[in-house]
Amino acid sequence: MADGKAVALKRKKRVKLKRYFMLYLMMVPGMVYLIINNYIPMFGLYLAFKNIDFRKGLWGSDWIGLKNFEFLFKSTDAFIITRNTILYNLAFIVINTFLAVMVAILLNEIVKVRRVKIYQSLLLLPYLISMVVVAYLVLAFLDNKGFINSAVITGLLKRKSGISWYSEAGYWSLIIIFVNAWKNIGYLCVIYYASIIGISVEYYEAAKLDGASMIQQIRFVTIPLIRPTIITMVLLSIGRMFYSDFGLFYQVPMDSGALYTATNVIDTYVYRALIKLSDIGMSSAAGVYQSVVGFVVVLCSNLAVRRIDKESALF
Amino acid sequence: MKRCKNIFTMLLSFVMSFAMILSLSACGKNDAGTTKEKTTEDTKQTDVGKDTEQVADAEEPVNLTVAFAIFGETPMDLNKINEKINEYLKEKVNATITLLPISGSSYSQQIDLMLTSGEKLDLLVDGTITALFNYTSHASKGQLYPMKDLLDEYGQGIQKAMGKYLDAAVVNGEIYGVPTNRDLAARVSLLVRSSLLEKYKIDPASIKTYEDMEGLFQTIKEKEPSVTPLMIADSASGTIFDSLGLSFDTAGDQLSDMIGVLMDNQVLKVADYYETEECKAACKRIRDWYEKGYVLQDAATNQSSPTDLIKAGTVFGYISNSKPGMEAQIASTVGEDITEIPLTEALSDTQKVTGFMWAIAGESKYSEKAMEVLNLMYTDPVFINLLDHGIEGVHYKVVDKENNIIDFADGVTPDTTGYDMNIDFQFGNQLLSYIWEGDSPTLWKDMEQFNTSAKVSKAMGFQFDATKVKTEYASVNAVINQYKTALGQGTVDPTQYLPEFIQKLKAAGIDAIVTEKQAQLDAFVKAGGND
Repeated sequence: MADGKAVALKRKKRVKLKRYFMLYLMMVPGMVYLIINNYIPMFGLYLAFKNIDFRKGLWGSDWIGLKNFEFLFKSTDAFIITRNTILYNLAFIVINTFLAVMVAILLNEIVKVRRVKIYQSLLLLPYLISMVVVAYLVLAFLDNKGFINSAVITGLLKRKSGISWYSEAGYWSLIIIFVNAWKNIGYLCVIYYASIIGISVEYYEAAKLDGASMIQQIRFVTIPLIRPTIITMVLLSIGRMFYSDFGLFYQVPMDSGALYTATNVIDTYVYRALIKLSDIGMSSAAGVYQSVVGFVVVLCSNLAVRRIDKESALF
Repeated sequence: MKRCKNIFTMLLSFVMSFAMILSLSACGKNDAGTTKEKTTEDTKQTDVGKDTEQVADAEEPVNLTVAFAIFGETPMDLNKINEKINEYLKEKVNATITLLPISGSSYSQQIDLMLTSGEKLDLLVDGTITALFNYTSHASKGQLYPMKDLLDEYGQGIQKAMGKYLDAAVVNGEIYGVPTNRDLAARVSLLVRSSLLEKYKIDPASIKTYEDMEGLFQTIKEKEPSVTPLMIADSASGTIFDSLGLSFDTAGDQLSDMIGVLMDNQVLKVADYYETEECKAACKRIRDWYEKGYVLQDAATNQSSPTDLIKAGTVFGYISNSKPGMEAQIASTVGEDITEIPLTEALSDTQKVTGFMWAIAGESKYSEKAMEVLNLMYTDPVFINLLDHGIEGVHYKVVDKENNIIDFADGVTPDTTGYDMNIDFQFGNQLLSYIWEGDSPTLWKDMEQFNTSAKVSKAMGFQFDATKVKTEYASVNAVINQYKTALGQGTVDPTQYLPEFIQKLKAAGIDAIVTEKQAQLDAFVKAGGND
């Protein structure tokens, strides 16, 4: 009996394999890419525990345990950079998701196709601009003689002197969040918009028949139906919570030292600390630290999502 | 449909869980490193064979790749000159070279990559100028070829030209680089626009102290409101610490990196500069100048060099390390007369000598040929002038044979010339090259005099090896990056930020670095010092 069951199971598997063969085949290029690009370099993890000496070679260099990780936690900045990295990313996730969903819903309400296309392109444009260019756009606004100082603060508000933006850290948490939102919501919004237009019109018609207002339609039809997309996108960003957009935190504040309390994140800290040492071991250590913590965060958040809604969890 | 979704989610989960493992440098360098290991073994095995082959097979000239830094576009006629050089070198030492100019902004990274990956590279310019080179690290990691024996065998010309300066490049008892012969000392000077000095009848000789300088800046500020009187150092983001700190206030020695310095270059006592009274005074002074408008108000974001701003007419002058012929050099860059007001006497230390050096790549298969070619670069005016000025009759013409004075060739102007890198200081022995019309005909004699008469730091030849304290070194660097520019340009108030800076440096472990540096310096002195 047991044998018969096993055979049946095997046959079932074979049938499955046959039926989905094409799909598996389609997966191959992606897998090859993943292995070459993402798995093979994982050997690099091992550099984080070595004191690299080119005379001894990569494999022959001495093991030094966790010594390469020490510098990350050595300075009093360890707390600031970790806090900045996490809080900024949380703010980005919440604000960007909210704005992008809102804009996507608004886009969906526009009937004329041409207009939608124009708005979409305009929204997406900032996403395609290099951070270095963005940095100079910001500089044009915030420079000592920039637009904000000359037109708004001394012009409109009639203050005597402008604000020297690049030496006052206080404003920068808002500036960074604003720039990030401006740059990224266009892209996110396209994704949400795509899943909104996938919703069948019948739902809305039924809702209208039941007398639902516009707001109620959004609340009870649109949002619940795009929830899986939102959750996937949020989980993806959570996975990258310990990374930060280097350009945003390095270029946009023009690497101004006075702003570091507000703009220093793990990536910029590592860059600044190691640029003079060019120490491969220590840079790898920083990478490993970010990866491991990021991995744990993804697992935890997925677990949380599973608890609340099993269908939406990634794995 | 459901199945599709599962595959999709599976893929997604793969992507997200492992995309993040792609860490900063771990990826690229790993592959590079493994190939490197293999090639080292290969070279070792073939090395012996190669040399005998060279001797036996005399017709086949060896080709060397020669990397150097350029600060501008690659000149049009580089290939022509390369050919001409090869004709000459083939005859002289049976070798050819491939000139490989690399932009200064990416030089450090590219060279790091080439040395790590074992890409073909034989001769390269290296040095201790931060942000451009990384000599000490390359040398201590074994990425450069040890030169001592090669110098004895093939480099007598270099030894003769550079003499005791060669010792300045010693790392762990071995020479990995030879300094180029150029200005090997520096005095600190105020370089200003002559036109404005004349307009307000200011005698440059009268300016000697801070008070004199302030008087001058005040005059300019009042009478030329659109002109900023001063840029504090020789770069867009330079600080008072770099320019005046250890040179004008005290005749000190930065010991390369400003982390642990000699306050007096004749006393071998390492101190943390940022803690000293001198630093406090410097911060206060620059803050005062900033508030009075003597220095750039947008210093924090400024990206333009002093010469650019002088050219644009918005800056009156700047403070810089200087040398004989500086006035003419800067004048030709900015297009108007420049007056130099020397503030200190000439000082020389390890960093000034080792700023630009030639090194042989650790994996070069032709280290001996490389040394022969390098020797020519320090002894052979024909080779040097080809590198410095191009081809006679095409790019330049000799106007005064006796004094070696040249000018642009007929029909060639500074704008139309196909070869104008202006990096003569990198090509071996600059003192053997031609002098441009307009420069002092005695320029190289003056330079030699300047070099020999300079006050030499007692720590000359000392190179700090940071590997033992690299954790602290990395943290301290991060702290310095945060505070140095803002404090040293006067954009923040030192009474609040300086104590904070000092306290953070302590927390990051600057004392451990100072102690280690002192220990290494003591060991260096014990081993013979700079005599």
